[in-house]
Amino acid sequence: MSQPRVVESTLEFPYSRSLGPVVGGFLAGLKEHRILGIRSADGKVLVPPLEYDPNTGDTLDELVEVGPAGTVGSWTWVDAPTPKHPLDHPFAFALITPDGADTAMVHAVDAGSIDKMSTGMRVQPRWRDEAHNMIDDLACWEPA
Amino acid sequence: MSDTTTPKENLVMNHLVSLSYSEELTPILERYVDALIDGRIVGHKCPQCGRVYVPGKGYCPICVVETTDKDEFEVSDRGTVTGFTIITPVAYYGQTETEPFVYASVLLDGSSGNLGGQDIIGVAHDQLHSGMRVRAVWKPPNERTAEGVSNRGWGSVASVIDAFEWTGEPDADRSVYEEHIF
Ligand SMILES: [Zn+2]
Repeated sequence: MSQPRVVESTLEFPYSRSLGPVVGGFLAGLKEHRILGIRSADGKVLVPPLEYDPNTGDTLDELVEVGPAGTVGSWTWVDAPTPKHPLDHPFAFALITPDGADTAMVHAVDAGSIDKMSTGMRVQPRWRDEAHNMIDDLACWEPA
Repeated sequence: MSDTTTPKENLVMNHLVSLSYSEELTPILERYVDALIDGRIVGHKCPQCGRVYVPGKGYCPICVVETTDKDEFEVSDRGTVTGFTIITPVAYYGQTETEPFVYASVLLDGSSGNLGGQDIIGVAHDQLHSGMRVRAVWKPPNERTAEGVSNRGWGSVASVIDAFEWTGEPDADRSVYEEHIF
C-alpha cells in the first residue's frame, strides 16, 4: 500500500489592536529597555501591568519601573522548540519576578543548557534589536 | 523604582495568528482524491436510505450506518445550480479576488448534497439563476492535486476543477433543486 497523502493547510487571522495607556505604556517602556508594572490599590506592583485592580476592579494608572534584573520561580525546559517558540534552540519557559515587582511574568530564559537552570537564579533581560510593539521586544531573559 | 508618566503615543500591536496543519488524509479521502485526479467524482451511497455523500463520510448520519468502499458511488460531473451569490470583494487579508465573482452551489447529478463555492462560467453574472445546467471544467490531468482537501471539511474540488460551465441545456425542473437551495 502506498503512503497516505499529507496535505498542508494554514489558517491565518491578522489582528490590529490599539493598546491604550496601560498595555501601550508597558510596550513603550520595552522600546526604551525599561520594564514597567502598575501599582494596585493595596500597593503591590503588578507586571505586566493590568488595566484594572484584580481585587477591587478599579482603574489603575500608576506605572512603576521595575527590574531590569529578576528572579526565576518555577520553570520548564523546552528541549525541542517548534517554529512557534520564541527561540530556535532549547530554552526554558519560566515565571520571572522582576526586582521590585510583586508578581511574576511568563517568559523565555536562554540559559544554553538545562543544567544552568534553577529556581531562584538571577536573570537579566535581552532586548530585541528593533522594537515592534509586542512582548518579545523583551526578546528573552538570560542568566545574570 | 521610579514613577513614570503615561506615554501620549497610542501604540498599536499587529499580530498574525497563524495555524499550520499537516494531516494524512483518511482512506476514504485518499480514494476520493485518487478518483478526482483520474477525472471522476466519487462518494458513498447509503445502503439503507440511498443518500449519496460526496465525498463519502464512512457513515450515513441520517441512518447511523457505516458506509465503506463497497458503497462507493460515482456521481456525474454535470449538475444543476441550486443557488449562488455574486461577491464584490473587499481587500481583506488573504482575499486575492479583485473583481466581483460567483460563489455558487452545484447539485451534481447523482449526489444528494451540494458542492459549495463554485465559479460558474459561460454566462453573464446578471443571467445566473437557480436551475441552470452546468458541467465541470477539469484542470489538465497533470495539474490536478490533493491541495485543499482536508479531513476537517467536506473535501473540495478546487484543485482539480477550475469552474462549472453552462451547458446551454434547458433549466432543470424546480423539483430537482428546490430542496437544495443554499
Ligand atoms: Zn442513510
